[in-house]
Amino acid sequence: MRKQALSDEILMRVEKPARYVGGELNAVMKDKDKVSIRFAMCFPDVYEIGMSYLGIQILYDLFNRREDTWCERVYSPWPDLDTILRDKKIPLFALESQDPLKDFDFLGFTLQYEMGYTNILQVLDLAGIPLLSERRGEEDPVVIGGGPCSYNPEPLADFFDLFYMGEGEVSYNRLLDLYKANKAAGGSRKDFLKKAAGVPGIYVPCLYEASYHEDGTLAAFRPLCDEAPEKIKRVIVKDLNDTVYPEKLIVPYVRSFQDRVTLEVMRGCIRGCRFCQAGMVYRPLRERDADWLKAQAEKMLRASGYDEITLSSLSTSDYTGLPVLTDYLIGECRDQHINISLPSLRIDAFSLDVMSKVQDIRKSSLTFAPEAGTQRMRDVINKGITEEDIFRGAAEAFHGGWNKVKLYFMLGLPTETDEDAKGIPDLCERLSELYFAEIPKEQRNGRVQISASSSFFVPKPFTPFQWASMLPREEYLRRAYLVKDTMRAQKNNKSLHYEYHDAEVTLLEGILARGDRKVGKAILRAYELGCMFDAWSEKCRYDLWLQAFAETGIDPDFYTLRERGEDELFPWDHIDIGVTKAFLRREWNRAMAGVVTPNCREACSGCGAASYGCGICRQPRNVQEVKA
Amino acid sequence: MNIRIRFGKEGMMRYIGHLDVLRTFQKIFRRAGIPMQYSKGYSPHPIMSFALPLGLGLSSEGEYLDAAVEDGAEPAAMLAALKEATAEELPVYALRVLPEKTENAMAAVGGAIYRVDLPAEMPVKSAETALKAILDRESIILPKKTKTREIELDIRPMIFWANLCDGAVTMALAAGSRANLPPEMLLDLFAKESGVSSEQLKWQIRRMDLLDHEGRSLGSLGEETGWES
Repeated sequence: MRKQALSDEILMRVEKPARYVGGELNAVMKDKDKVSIRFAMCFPDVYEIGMSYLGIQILYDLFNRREDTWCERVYSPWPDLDTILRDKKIPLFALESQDPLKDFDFLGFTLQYEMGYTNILQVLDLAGIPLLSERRGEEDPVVIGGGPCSYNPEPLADFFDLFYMGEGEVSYNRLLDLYKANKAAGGSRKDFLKKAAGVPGIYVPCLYEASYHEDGTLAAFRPLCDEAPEKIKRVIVKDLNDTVYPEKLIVPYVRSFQDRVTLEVMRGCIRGCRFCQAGMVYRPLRERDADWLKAQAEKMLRASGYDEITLSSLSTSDYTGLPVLTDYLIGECRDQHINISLPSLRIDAFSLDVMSKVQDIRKSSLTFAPEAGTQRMRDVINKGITEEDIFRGAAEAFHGGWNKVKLYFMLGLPTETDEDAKGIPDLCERLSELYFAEIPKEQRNGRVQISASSSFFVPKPFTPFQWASMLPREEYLRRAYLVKDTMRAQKNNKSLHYEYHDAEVTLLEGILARGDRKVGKAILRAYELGCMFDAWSEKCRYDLWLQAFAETGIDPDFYTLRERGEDELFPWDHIDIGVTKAFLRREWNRAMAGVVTPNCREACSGCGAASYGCGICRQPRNVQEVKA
Repeated sequence: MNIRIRFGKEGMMRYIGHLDVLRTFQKIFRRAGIPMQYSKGYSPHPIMSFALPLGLGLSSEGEYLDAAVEDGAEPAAMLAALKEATAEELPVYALRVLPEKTENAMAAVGGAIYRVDLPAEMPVKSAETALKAILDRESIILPKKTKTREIELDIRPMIFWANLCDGAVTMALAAGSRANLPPEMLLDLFAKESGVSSEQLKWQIRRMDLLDHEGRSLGSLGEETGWES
């Protein structure tokens, strides 16, 4: 029988013990004495969230295909177990073997959102691994980070030994081979880190040094040895039909947030929304063949037993194989009682037709993401949809039987005025009027419901808005109330509903997203003060964070309220994601001028991702005249 | 056609609640490629039900699940596919096709057999004495909390029999919708009589089998259809 790290008494005492026991369908068990590399992969949040994330399943599959490697999983213990582990001094363990994390060779973290940073320290701390990279010894695991937040690794630089820039399929095998060879040759931890710096996509933060101007901005960022390259280029898979993909998904016993098969149809996005980090850091767009996906879907459904499948990408409507693939899935799945869910669809005649086939219209609501209330603002952010698009989509949806519409917006975007904010209720009101105009009374199925929600914009590295300033805390709330009150004053206000997200978390996210190495001290202090699960707004302690900033000499306004100069050296400039800073600056200037940029299918705007020589960049298109 | 499977819960599977086990079996049937029958109506779901939920933390080798599957499949082939498709700590032991008009498993349950391994250091004599003291009583009135109030309950008739053998207590208790005696209640009594900690005993409870109202195993539905295993 499998070892059990927690006693029966403890398991009976905690909420959802299934989070900690492992043993799920398709979880991989190996003999630890027969492998030479033990890798623990962590999503630093609670099990149900972490298990929903496809990326870990891809790497888990990739690593476990190697005979010499056993990859296991670990997630953040929920506060109830956290307290017990500390009280009873039980070291945090991996789910499969239930062995302490300290026994592993690698501990990998996926960095999906900034507000998960303190949970990384929680996991290290509970595992008994020194929080600071410089304090780790030969016996400690190598701590490696990857995922979207690693593109600005600097706030976390003190805690990580390595960062992986890009897609795991490319360099991980090389990194693991290197580790094994170094160990066999009797090499030290430091030897390995230096050698790892030579692997494409690997960034070793301790081999670099930052220096600052008197005003706090970065003056220089230099490698400290020959092994460390000046720039670390993100690595990507050129042909997505030529990758391994997990056929046997691990199936959790407890319901996770994505309790279904996830089929990744493409990577990258053609859209170029100027606020969107994913839209820049995953370029260029690379599609998978529909035939490849069909075969994959069948295998994954069979191996998991799931009764639902979803297509995943940044903008599924832009996937050229969509009609073929959805036709196939609808045909295959109907008889087998398998549901299809299609997020990230643009609302048009095609997608409405598909949606009406795969879901129950009476129960479902349609989701639009106009992101901004006025066309002027949508042009600034390069959203690429016009008011006509929205109204045409909505009219078609109303005729198709939908009467619930969800709209997502952002507030606090660069150049935003009160008129732009008031554009949100105005758009909602006109959509409700459209419903009354389009649908005769006798055909109406209850009241039309328009619910709008807004989050506050956070400028992210590697976006055209990386230069932008954020707003003072009170200003966020004022704008949200402007929307709220204007919404209430609308004629059809009974059909309208509005919610806004927290401003405090927004500001914290803003500091961490564009932070430099100095910010790491504040993260550590915040953790020591008790911050954890900051992504759970009811658990986020803004007051403790402010205390941590004050105690470590970090001025939050320096990171949030400052518009960065054109020539400012950014803490993340040593990372090369393919898209160039020059392109991002051109896009910033075009945003300020309110000029839209065509998407990658319409024309190439010379972003720099063509340096990868793959995907959409290799298809013949117009070349957009490059002008600021 | 309706089938019944017998399965177990081992190791850390004991911490998976019965609704999650039910959802897992839906997946296991899909993985096994056994086509299920679905309920009619607005949101069809596979027709599947447990005989009796097992408390969290208890292990078992005598759980039953009834399912409606499409006609035609060979029992032996289905069993082999389920064994292949399930998780190690959720073993499927046996499968049989139910005769038509079999009462569903949930309604059929009248009793359950539990085995509790006693601590090695416990003298056999004191265990015997404690068990005899309990079984010799004509009635055992205990308070029981219901949803709304506390009532008094005579649990003695709900103890069918109990043995002390092989360092363990094996007991048959009333179970199901008509009368239900959780094994923990009897163990508390036993612990009090014998002086061991009831906490220590609680983690040792293992369900061995479920019984129908006549005291037969839920797996035996007449001589002519034996278990395919």
